[in-house]
Amino acid sequence: MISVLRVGSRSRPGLRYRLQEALIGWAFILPAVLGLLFFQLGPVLASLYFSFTNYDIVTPPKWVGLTNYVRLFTADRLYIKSLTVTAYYSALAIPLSLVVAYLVALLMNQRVRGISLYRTLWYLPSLVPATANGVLWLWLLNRDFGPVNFFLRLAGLPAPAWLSDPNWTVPALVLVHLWGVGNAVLIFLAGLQGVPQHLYEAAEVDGATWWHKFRHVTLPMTSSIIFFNLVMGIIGTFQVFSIVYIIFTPPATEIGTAGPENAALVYVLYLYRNAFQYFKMGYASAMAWVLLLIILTLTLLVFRSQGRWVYYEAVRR
Amino acid sequence: MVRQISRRAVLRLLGGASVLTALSACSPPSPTPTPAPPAEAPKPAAPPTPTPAAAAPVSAPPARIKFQSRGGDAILKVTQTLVAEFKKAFPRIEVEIDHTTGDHFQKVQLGVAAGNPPDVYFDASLRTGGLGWKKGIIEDLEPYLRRDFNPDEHIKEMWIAMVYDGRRIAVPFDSGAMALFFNIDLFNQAGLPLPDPKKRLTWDELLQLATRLTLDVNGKHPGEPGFDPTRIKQYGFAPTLLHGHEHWIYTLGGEIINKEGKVTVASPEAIEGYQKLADWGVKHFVGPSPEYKQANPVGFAAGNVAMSEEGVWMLGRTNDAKINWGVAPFPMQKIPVSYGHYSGQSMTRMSKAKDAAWQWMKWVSLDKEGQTILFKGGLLQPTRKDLIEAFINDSQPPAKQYREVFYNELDPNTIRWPGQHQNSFYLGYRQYWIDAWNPRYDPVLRGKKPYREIAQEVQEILQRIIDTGEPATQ
Repeated sequence: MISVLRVGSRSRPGLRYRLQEALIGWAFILPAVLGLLFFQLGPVLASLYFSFTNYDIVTPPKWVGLTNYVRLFTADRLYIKSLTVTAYYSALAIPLSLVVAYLVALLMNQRVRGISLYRTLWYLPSLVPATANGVLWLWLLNRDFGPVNFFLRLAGLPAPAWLSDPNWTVPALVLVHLWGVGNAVLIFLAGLQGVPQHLYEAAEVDGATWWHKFRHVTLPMTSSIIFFNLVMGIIGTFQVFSIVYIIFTPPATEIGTAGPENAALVYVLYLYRNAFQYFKMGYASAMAWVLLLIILTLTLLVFRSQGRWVYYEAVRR
Repeated sequence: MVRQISRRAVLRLLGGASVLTALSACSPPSPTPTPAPPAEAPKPAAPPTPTPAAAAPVSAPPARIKFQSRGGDAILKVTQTLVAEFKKAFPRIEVEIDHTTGDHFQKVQLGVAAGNPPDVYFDASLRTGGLGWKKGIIEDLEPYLRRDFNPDEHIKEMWIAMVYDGRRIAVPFDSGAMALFFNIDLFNQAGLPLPDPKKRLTWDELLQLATRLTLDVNGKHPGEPGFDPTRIKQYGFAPTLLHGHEHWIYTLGGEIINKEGKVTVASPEAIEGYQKLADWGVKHFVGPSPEYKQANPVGFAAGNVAMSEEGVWMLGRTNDAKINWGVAPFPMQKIPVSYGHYSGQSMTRMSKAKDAAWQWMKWVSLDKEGQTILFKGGLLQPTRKDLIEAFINDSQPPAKQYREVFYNELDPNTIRWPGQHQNSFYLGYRQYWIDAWNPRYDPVLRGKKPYREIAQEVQEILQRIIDTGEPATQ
């Protein structure tokens, strides 16, 4: 029996085919599932247990029930601060990175000479290691001599103290994040190239302008890609850590800070402090699980909302 | 036969995988399902007293220990030399170096959690030593020291920042005194007399010198029309903002933690001292400030700071940078104050080869052979009295009269540090203190707030840390 995969078929699959589809799907994700089961499930479940304990690594964990969770929301103002900072960062970074990545992908989808070079250039920053990225942006964002402010001044705009003014710290981190949208661009580009050309041709026959074509063809046909990048953005931005740690840890002292006046005290940085500086592994585990619940809730909300704005060609048919 | 995989199904798979990834990423880094506390899980307040065996002679059974070092290549090279020489003296003890350049304490904790900690690790003082002791990671060295340590052979100040709850928990591996380093070439270029290695500059004298030594890229000094603090070619004075910065308060007669264990950073002396510390950068413009980050690396070893408060641990790096330099005591206002500390190596309580570990520690940190390698490598100001002359007469810069300053600054009559009354550096909570202090002092350093505005709040928060032994949560 020869099995042929075809996206967008009109035939309705039977039980046998659905089983076969499931098997193929499982085969694809099997390496990841095995890795999860053998190497990560144990620690994940252990962290769930630790989150209900007072565990300092050295002495055996002591069961404290929900104390860690209650304390997070009732007695730890720094925790609330970290939550706020992270939510602010995500609220800026997710939509901006989606818009920027999408616009760049649209540009990179044009048929012009040297487009491969442009695509490569846009993708390159995604390959820069986080440490080099941090050092680079320390220079780029310097208030007095950084290139970013140089151009802002040229345009007659205010030049903020990106990394030393608490009001600008999170926007600065978002800017750094936007520099690495190459991965999202690549995924958008793949989606854009998958939009059937005949749809555009049909729209043109009907007298559609470029805006109509974008609004009624491109956007719906790539909405599933937007959905995917949105989910990935939620997961990624709520776990931001390394760039903050690198930018605000002076190498000579090895003493990490969280930016001016704790303005960059992101969630995972505070989790890290509790786990590895304060010996509060149980408390940090509770933080990790709350973070999981936050990400899971937001992701589920996005999944629930997809029926209203995500277009799946196969489903419509 | 035609099969269909809808785009929705694909995206569901991807989404599901993403959630699983998030789930795994949310777990705390590398926890262990089965915690691995030591069988003799110690109580910090009353640590168990180990019974060291006799010093391991050459005929002792072979042993293997893991030594975790940290820092840059210079420290790694010194460590490799130590291991090679130690091997000659103790051929039956194998020392494995586990060097880390990042967060060394995290590595120690993970080793403890995994039941595979290093036997000995550096560095175990200041920030992390107190917590390592209080949480039961670090072994009490008193029994070993009582047996093998001759106090007459060493200077008394060798234990600063290595004693917690009355127990010595580390032996010196790095550091020593701090002092005012000055760049002789920059002084000569400015036509200024060199600081006297036997005399402390007053704050006013220091400011006058620093102002004349500070130049912006147009050659202007602070206070001159057109001086641009954002484009500095050379700073006159860089105060320490980390180790030893407390001398700005002590010299005014203030305290950080008084005899009763009360935090006193809102006293008039503390308010004046902490404000002065910030003023060097944002009022006088003679020192680096986070408000005016420069394009080039700024530092004494970079050659663009004329005077800088540095530790003896910078000796090797300063010489590597070919700086022509001298040393003077810390500046003063009312009372002469100095500062120094040693960064130690500690034994972990979970070590399974404690005798061999102690043999290594003793040979490296207390015996002449080891200390000679450490000081020749630019790490340690020797604590052994029979090495003081060798250190002072060493042919490497700075000159002899300047090298003497390092020992003068360890004078018990002038040396001051927080927790001194309790003989416990920051009472063991330096890390908690730093995390609470830095974000609040930052606007003062940037000239956005006067210190007096935050003094009371900071004092209350720091007092709570001392009283509860818990990190700040606000």
